[in-house]
Amino acid sequence: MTLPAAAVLVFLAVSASAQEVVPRDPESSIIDLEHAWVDGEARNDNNALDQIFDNGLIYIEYGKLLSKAEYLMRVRVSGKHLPQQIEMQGMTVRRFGSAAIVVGVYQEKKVAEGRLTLRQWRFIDTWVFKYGRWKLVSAASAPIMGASVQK
Amino acid sequence: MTASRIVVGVVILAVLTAAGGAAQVDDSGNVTKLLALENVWRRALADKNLNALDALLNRDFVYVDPKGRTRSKAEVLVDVQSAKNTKLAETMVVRLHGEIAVVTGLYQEIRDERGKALVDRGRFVDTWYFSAGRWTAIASVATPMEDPL
Repeated sequence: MTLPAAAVLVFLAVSASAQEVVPRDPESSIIDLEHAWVDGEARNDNNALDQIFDNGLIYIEYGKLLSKAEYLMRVRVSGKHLPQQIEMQGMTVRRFGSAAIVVGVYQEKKVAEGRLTLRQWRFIDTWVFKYGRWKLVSAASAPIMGASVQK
Repeated sequence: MTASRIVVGVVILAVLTAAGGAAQVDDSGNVTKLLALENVWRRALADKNLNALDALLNRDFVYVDPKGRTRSKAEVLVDVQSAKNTKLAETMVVRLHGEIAVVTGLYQEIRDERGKALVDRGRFVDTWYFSAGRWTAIASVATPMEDPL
């Protein structure tokens, strides 16, 4: 290969790497990641969650804002005795360039002081395609009023 | 010009092209711009300025309110017309992710309940998308500060 040809190849390679090539059909990938998040938390798998979460993740629940490090610490501290179980109950994905918004509902099953509480939450998660993979950059949820049951 | 100089020149050009491509959204000033847009949004709600809201909200905008209800852009524009509450925002922080920006902050909603002013507090997350030279809001979630149960 001649030097000019090699230079052209370098040019093409470096130029291409600057543009994130977003998969054409990200919906199924993102839904899989949403489920992977729930599974990772249920298994207390911080490594799996670390891969899913962007380093700049912000997570909000009941007005409390957690960073990625704080969220992972919470999972680590909870250990195998997680007080709640999460069940996804439907979600839709909307694409915006190299980002996607997921709107959905999940049910939280929580046991505290011998009482079982079932609560539904509506959430919006924001995913951004970075460095060849989808990363969660924000997650926020609000409790659905009138959709809680205590037993 | 020697072949080696051609190679160096092409590599430099490639790096500059890559840098320009990666920085599609210039971060400088975007934080200030987004905070200003947030204030414009709150003002538009207070003034019931539907034109301003129409420009701010992306056509696919979705809102989740503190009671877990979803509202589309069209529904928000209808709700605004009959809204009587006052919304304030503070302590806003902007986080940029290329063409996406996430703004978090604290809100206070002052509502009238049988002549008594009540204040609901919470935290919000607004997601903005940069496209066609401007930012539009694509999502918003308002989460209450306290557990209502």
